[in-house]
Amino acid sequence: MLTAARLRKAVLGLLVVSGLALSACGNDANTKRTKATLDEVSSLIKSAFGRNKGAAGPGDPNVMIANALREFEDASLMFVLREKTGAYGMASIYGQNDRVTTWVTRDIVSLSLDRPMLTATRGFGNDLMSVEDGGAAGLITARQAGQAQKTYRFLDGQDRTSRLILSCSIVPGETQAVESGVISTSTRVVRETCRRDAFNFTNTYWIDAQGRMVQSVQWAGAENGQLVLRRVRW
Amino acid sequence: MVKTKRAAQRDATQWASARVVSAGSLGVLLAVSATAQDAADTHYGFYGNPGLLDMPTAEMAPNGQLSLSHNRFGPMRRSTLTFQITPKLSGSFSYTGTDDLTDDFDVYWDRTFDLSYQIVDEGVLRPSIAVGLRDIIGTGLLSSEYIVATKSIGERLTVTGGLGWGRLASENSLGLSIGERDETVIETGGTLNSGQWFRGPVGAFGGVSYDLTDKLTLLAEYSSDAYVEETDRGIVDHTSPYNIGLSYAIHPNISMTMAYMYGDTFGFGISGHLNPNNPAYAGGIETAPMPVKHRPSRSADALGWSGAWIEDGRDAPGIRKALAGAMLKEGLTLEAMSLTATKAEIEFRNNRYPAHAQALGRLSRLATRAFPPSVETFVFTEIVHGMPVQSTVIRRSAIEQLEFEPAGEMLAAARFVDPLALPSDPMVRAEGAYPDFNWSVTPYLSATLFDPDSPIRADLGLRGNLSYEFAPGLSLTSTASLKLTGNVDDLETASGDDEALPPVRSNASKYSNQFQLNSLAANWYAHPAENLFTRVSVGYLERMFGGVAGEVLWKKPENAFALGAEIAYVQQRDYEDLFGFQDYDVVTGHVSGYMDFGNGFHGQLDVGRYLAEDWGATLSIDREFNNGWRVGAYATLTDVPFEDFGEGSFDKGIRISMPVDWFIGTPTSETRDLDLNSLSRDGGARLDLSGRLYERVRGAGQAEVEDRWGRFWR
Repeated sequence: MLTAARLRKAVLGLLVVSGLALSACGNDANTKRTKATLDEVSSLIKSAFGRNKGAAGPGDPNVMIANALREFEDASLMFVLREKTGAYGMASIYGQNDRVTTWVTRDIVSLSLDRPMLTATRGFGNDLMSVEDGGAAGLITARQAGQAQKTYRFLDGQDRTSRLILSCSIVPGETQAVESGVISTSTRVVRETCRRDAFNFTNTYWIDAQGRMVQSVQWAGAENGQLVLRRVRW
Repeated sequence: MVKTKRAAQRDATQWASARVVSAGSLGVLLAVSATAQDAADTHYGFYGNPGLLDMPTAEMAPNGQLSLSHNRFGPMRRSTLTFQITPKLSGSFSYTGTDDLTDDFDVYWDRTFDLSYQIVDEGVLRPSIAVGLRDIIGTGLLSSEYIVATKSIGERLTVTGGLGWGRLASENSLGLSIGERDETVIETGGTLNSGQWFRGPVGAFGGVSYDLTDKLTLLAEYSSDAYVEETDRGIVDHTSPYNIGLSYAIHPNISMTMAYMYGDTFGFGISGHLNPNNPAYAGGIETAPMPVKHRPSRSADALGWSGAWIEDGRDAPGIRKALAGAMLKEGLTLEAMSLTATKAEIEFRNNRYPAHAQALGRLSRLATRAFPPSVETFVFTEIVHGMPVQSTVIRRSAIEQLEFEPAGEMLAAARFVDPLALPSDPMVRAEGAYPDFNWSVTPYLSATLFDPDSPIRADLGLRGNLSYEFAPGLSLTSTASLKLTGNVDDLETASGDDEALPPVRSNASKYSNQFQLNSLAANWYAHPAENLFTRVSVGYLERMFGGVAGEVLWKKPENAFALGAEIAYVQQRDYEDLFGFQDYDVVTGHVSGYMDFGNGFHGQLDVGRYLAEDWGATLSIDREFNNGWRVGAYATLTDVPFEDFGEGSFDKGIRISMPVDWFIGTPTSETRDLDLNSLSRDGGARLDLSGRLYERVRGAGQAEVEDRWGRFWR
């Protein structure tokens, strides 16, 4: 059998907890992160236990839109809402790469639109990395019926790119007048239904006579659900 | 609450005893992972691995899952860490305490290691079948082996039956016996007791589980463990082989079990699960990158496209300054830059992104905004400790064209080379890149658990870190700590059982002073030739030793293996005098082989001479997840005889490294490290040198960059 002293020592030494960073000071980026990390982790704990849920938004979206139109006098603006969470914000143009326009919100989340069609998000988490549209964006812009095979790409938990290949049918529908911010125009409602086996979703686009998307409801991924996009100034 | 630290940066203040993050952080870990739905259908028994109550099942947890359990009934309590090593192989480490099992102790503590391997998985008609070994390296007191089959019938019912040896044949022995079982208890433990596996009498066990609701499961079993020794001692009253229990999932990843055991006592268990495959947020929640900026048309900027701007030489300083500013916001430091009419090379430090591909992606976008249109070739060279580790060559037009294409297309357009293999234009150092001075002061808590006399011992204090890099590769680093309060040094010093070995580690607690200079060293890192990296450090290298250490690493970017060698001459530091030394000195060193097996497993073999002048080798195997998680085990065998080594026979342990960004979703290279090993002993003790070359060089290397290339456009 073991001697008492030996065993006791083994017990003492078995588990040693080392270290705790309550708060830090210094100029080292990594230790500053430590503090930020703890703040973030503690907020995660709170939300995980149901406290601290849904900090109150800045109020009425219409007020926010009006304020933004006043504040940014000549800028193109878009209202963005995540259906799943009810969170919303205003976005302005961040970049243009060929036919893709990237919009950015005040908290630096970006959305990239290939003409009317959502092709990437950055900053939501579980972001839409890219879409190969198989001609869908062109059909929607032209308000034409047609079929397209679309490939959505996401990152998995191991930072590997996963693909979701969908068959989409695009059907132009009724004409609707849209009033949004300082925009007042007549649009064609174009519906794009994408499926793969039992899974499906429908994107809806309101396209004006010049082929511009005035508003749309588009799928951004399984976790992020549908985004509502609404131009309030061209 | 845990200690945080830079990736791969061994903190010199952490001495080579057992380390673990506290239960608090595991709580966070479980809470956070709730967002990632783990398939936690597998029920965990009182041994902390797939089972009913005391009996095992043939079920396996989802690949990669980590589970932490605490179970108790009667005089027994057991804490277990279980890892699903591969889809078919599961391993568990337990710490088991039994009240009054022997006359010598109030509580008899034992460490056990269990393995279970699923031979066949469940089919339509076929049950899953597994073989398992309980307590394969311990004293043998808890040892048993089994073969078990489990079959689900319908949606709710699961039936299990099996044969057991050892403890699992002490009740309901079938009367047949395979060979002789050696019943002697191995005194020091820690070695494989393979001689008794599947030997001796055979017992039969079985049971069922039935899902009453989605969350509530009924468990019933017939146990073939008669608790012979415990009954003899009178600490367990075994009146029935039947056990019955209820398990309730209080959370998708946490379940609790209540049971009535052996017709006499109630049992209670809780287990929590986490799967490293499922981070809080896939792809992270950090802010969006700056978009790529296209160059103006040739007609709009004829001068820029012509390249004639380079001749007056006035653009470069402005570009350097603007780029450095933009990079800083992205957590990158511009170290140096070269510029010709068609090519720009940027030497940078990555202070933020654990996925180096993401650093390259963000830098690429900034570069499209910084340089005149005629610059078509970008060379991004990552600098680690002043060493240019890898250059990534990317055409600017590819960045412009592929911004919204799948990341694989960008990877095909990128080229990775050793910086020394590239013809280099004259580099101009960025203003303010050197000297680079970093300091920080953080509070720390270090504690020991499971001390029978005092359940928690802790030290609380402040720890300071200094790093002064006065030129690329040349630095002065120091760590010191000030203990404010605590009682860890009350621990008995675990001196060796005899004087067979010099006390190189066993006197660790004598170093537990109010003020400690953990390290103070001058370092020189260099990349003298292609695929070759070197490092020399002089000073107080770690808490207990000071001297000089040199290291060489040979690593080819495209190779899965690398070779390293390290040699050090060190002298033992004084217990109290911060700068003093004792008489003991030693030349220690190792030759190391590293192998990335490519299937998520990584191996390392170090062969050489350890601090107590013993010769031997350390083998480490880690399962590495792409997102930075690592779960591994290591063992050191030296020419020190097991009886001289003492408890445990030889040095071994389990380690888990958790990337902080996995939990919080925003990039940081911090990790939290959990290291479970036996008490520090003098045999097989290695110099605790911080900043070893392999992890540093590997982190920025081609293989790691490619593994996480999906993050390039994130």
